[in-house]
Amino acid sequence: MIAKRLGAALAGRSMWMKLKRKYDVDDGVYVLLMPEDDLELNEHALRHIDDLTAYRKARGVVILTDRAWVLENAGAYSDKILALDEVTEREIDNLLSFFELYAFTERLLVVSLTKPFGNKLHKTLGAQGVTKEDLVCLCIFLIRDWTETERGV
Amino acid sequence: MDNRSREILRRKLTRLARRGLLRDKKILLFGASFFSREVKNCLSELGFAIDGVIDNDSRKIGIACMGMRVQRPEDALLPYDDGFVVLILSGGFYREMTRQLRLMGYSENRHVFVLNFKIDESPPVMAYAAARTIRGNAAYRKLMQGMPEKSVLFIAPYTGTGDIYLIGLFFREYLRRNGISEYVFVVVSGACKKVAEMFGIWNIVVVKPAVADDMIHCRCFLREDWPVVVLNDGWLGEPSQWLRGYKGLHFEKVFRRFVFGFDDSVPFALPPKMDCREETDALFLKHGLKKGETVVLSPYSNTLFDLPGDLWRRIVEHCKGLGYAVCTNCAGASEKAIAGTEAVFFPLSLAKAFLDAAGYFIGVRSGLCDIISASSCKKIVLYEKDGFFYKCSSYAYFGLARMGLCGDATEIEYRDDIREGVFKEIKDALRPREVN
Repeated sequence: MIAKRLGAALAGRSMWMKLKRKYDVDDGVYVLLMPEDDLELNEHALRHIDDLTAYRKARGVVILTDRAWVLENAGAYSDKILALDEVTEREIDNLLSFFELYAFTERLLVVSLTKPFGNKLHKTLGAQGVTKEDLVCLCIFLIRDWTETERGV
Repeated sequence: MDNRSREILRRKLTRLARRGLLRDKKILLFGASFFSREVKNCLSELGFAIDGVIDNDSRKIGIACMGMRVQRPEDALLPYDDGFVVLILSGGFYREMTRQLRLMGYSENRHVFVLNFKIDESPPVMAYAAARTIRGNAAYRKLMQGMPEKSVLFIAPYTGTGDIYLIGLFFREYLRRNGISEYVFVVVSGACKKVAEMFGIWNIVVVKPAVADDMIHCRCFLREDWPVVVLNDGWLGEPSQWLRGYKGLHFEKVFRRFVFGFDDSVPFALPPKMDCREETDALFLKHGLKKGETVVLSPYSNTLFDLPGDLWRRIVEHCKGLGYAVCTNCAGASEKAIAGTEAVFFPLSLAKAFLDAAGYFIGVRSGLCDIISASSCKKIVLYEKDGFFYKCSSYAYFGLARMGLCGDATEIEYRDDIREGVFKEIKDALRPREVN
């Protein structure tokens, strides 16, 4: 079992290294992995890309997804999207496997309430009025000064 | 901060000190955070003090952090000055921070030192992570070997005794609701074990902190549906930690809701009362203390702040002027009694009974405050004003009344410029009590 998982992680690493070289990730780029069909979650993520890049002083973001809606609509949300790459479900799983082995970078942000494995954000939704937008901004994008009253719709 | 990160921090700082890289330098901490205190404590043990704190977070600029005003990096570091050393402890942002400093002329490993483990995609780091996973798998199997089929492994990975106390308040109900009768309860220190025992938790195993982390980590990597319950919100980078302090999610709430999945209707299950009169009487006799007229000082905290020494001395003088006996709770050789007081050690299992007998408690917020929260003594608890804990102040997150642990404590936020007001509040709270 461990060997199989390590194999997936190695494949994920290989994918990541190619991405790093292609987009010069180390020079201020964040990679958004968007593997979910959750429309509300995805919209919040796309709408806050500019907040993310401003807060992190980033050059821009690269989006990786296999979700049709994201591929068709993401470009309209921000001009900080440097690239929008379509990837397969298997590639997503391999990249997540590498991330589940260890959080090898802070530049990979997974737009999900359940992934990577062990992510408990889905359990926090609704507690004390916590919204998906809160979870995206605070817990996925780590915009520390986010408060719903100041930035929410 | 997880246990492994703490070990790495200490090792890196020790190495810097031994190489003379901090000598005669103006030391700045990059990041006014909960972790800053860890760095400051470690530097202090090595004989160094920090000269400033810088942060990019606009909310923190100008606030007090460990006795200093937080500054913007540009305001503190420009124009360029070779006499600065900047220490970074940020697993999540160290690359951005070093890049920002590099653009200002400060180079890594000369002016800028990263104190966290520099995680990257390199083969050695990946191999290290794989080795930890394998260790975690072995540790899990060894712990669960021989246990009945539906047994559960509970892991309390943090050394804080206050966490264990909170866990204890909900643990029995969690077992009942989930039909759990067989379990292994893992903690990472003897003190945590003692607190767990207060609640009647059994089959407690003490493991090294790294082992606890390895098991949690392995489960995530293998995506195994192991019957493991991690008794902490947001451990090892799990993202729900960033909700701490947001929308009223204080210490008790995050454990109640995110660790145990309970709503507000579940009451606390306090630890069973124990008859500790004999042990308590022995301690009072040994240290010459007075029942109902003893003030117990608790100046030490692993995670929060320190009150200045001269203020403690004034408190001691005032208490003695009221005719009270005064002692300092000292849990180890490194914890010295405040001048003019008796050093007293009492085991955590005795803490509530001891404080019930003493009558008064004055301490900085620590896990001990959770453990004695149900004591009948007059409790005066101090917090660092402007101390940030994730999304709120330390008081907002750890306040005993707010958590519902007790409604009779005097809880005071301290900052140097309001010390006289704080001292007055303490004096007002210290009124002679009727001896029961």
